[in-house]
Amino acid sequence: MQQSPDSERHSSIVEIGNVSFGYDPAHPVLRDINLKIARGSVVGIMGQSGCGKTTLLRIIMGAYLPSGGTARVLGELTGKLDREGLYRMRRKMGMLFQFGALFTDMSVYENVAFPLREHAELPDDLLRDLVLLKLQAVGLRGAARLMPTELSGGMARRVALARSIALDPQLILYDEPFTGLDPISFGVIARLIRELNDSLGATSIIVTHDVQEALGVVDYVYFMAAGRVIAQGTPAEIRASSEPFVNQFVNGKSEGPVPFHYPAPDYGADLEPAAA
Amino acid sequence: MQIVAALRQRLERLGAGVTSHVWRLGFASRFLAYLVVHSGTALRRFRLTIAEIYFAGVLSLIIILVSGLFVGMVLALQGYDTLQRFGASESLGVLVALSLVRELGPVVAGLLFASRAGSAITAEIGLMKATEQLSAMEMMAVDPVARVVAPRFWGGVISMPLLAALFSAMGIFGGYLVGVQLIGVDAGAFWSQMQAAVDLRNDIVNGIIKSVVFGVAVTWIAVFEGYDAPPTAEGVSRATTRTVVTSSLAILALDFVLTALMFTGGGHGQ
Amino acid sequence: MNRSAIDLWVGIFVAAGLAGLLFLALKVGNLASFNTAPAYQVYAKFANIGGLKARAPVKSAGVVIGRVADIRFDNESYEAL
Repeated sequence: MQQSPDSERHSSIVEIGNVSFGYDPAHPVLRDINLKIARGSVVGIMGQSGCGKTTLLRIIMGAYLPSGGTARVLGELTGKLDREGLYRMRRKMGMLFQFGALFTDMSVYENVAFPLREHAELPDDLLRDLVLLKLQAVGLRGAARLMPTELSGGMARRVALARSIALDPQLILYDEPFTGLDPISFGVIARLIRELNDSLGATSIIVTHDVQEALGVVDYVYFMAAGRVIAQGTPAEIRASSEPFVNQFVNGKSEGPVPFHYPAPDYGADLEPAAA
Repeated sequence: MQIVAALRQRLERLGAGVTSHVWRLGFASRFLAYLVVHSGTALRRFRLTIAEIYFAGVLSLIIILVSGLFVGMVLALQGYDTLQRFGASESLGVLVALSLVRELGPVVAGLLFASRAGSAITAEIGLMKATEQLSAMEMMAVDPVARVVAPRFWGGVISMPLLAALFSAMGIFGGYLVGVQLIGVDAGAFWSQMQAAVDLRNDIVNGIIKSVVFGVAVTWIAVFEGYDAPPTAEGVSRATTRTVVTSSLAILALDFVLTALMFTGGGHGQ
Repeated sequence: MNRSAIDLWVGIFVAAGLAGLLFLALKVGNLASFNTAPAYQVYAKFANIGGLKARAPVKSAGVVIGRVADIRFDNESYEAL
């Protein structure tokens, strides 16, 4: 591919420019977000629950349109896409949902085969080879005949991962991939995210609040709070950050910018017997 | 003054409730239109629809056949009791057949279908929504309405008239068992009077039309409630209940409208 | 449930449903006595139709040979047609 003057711009797979969003115009969930995700990198978006990171992921996915600003994903503005265009864009993306979201009425094999069946006309043996290849990559080729209800949480998530890479996507999105996993599965998923990203030549975005695990995997971090990006940098920079919120988050302190107590009236006043 | 304020509040809430229901109906109609337009997948990959005919139709067979049998038998018992007072016991076949074919077949089968298959469809779609399976499908560039909802809709619409016919047939058989075998009405009179009184076009076809209309109504409500359900356990369970209640009311209301149109000299009878 | 088993049951179900419909049409309804022999319209005027309704049987020698198609009021002769 020729280097064009635009190559600088297009080396970012995702560009979020001044994006704001709110389900209800009076209560914006995202305010003026700016980020660039470079091709081939693994990027983490971290923050407290409710800071807007999952909403941001949905905007990147094209499920929501920004109320203000632009989201450019894989070279296309999500705001300008019609349904056909959106589907075309999504065929180049893979997404891992929080608990896997496997189709419960199909076997593991059928789940991974699903995107291949829907989007490609493949002869059965080629399909079989591809599905087994993907399952092998996540270490679950032996589980091909099982049903999702028979899988443990970690296994289900790995199958979902295999499904999301079935079409060799250029961009892989992870929504809280580490939630509720045991330490071994943690390590497995983290390793897979890195390995798959590099072997597929893809770009990955991880939304999570599992700091320690994620910091070991990502190349770059964006830290969000209350709908804004309040810090960004490499894992080393974030760990050393003196920004109070980041500090509290990374070190798991119970006091800091995020207070322990939910706002409440004066304690003494609350304990007094109610006025007649 | 207090009372006026309270009354006003009640009225406002009533108005808001009515508005939201009307809004919801509009939303449901657009959903149906979208569903029908995007039914290509359900028809091209008929396998999917066949699977849904199995889940909605075949799995409802037992309850439909058994209920049909019992309803027919009760009709014969009750009918005989009244008819023989007028010396019209030979018309028992007519009574049983017309009641079933015109009314009880489509209506009761519809109600049973709504509670068995309708609630199952709502629960299934609602659960898929709650566990993000529908979103996952969207993300894989597959339209969940075309892939998941449409086959269920057509499966229900196809199953319903068949179930209604089977209900009526079983009912007539049950009526025959009780009327002829048990009570002793003359078999020949039973069948011949029935044949003379039940008209193909006006009774049977109208009954089929009713069951098709009910099938569309019930399945539409079932898939919509499932698709629209809040993605929580409570949301899905409430949606399932709403399906059964709304479908049942819709069947009864539509039955009145259709009966008035079809069976009371509204048309020219032919 | 594998695919062929589902197909089998759906086939049985649809066949049974159609059989039920056929049963209703033939044994219960009057399809059997549906003859396509050429029919002709007969018009008759009455001073009073009594309890006559549409679809009432028209009999000759006690055998049903037709049905009342329509009952109208003739505006000119002020009789029932």
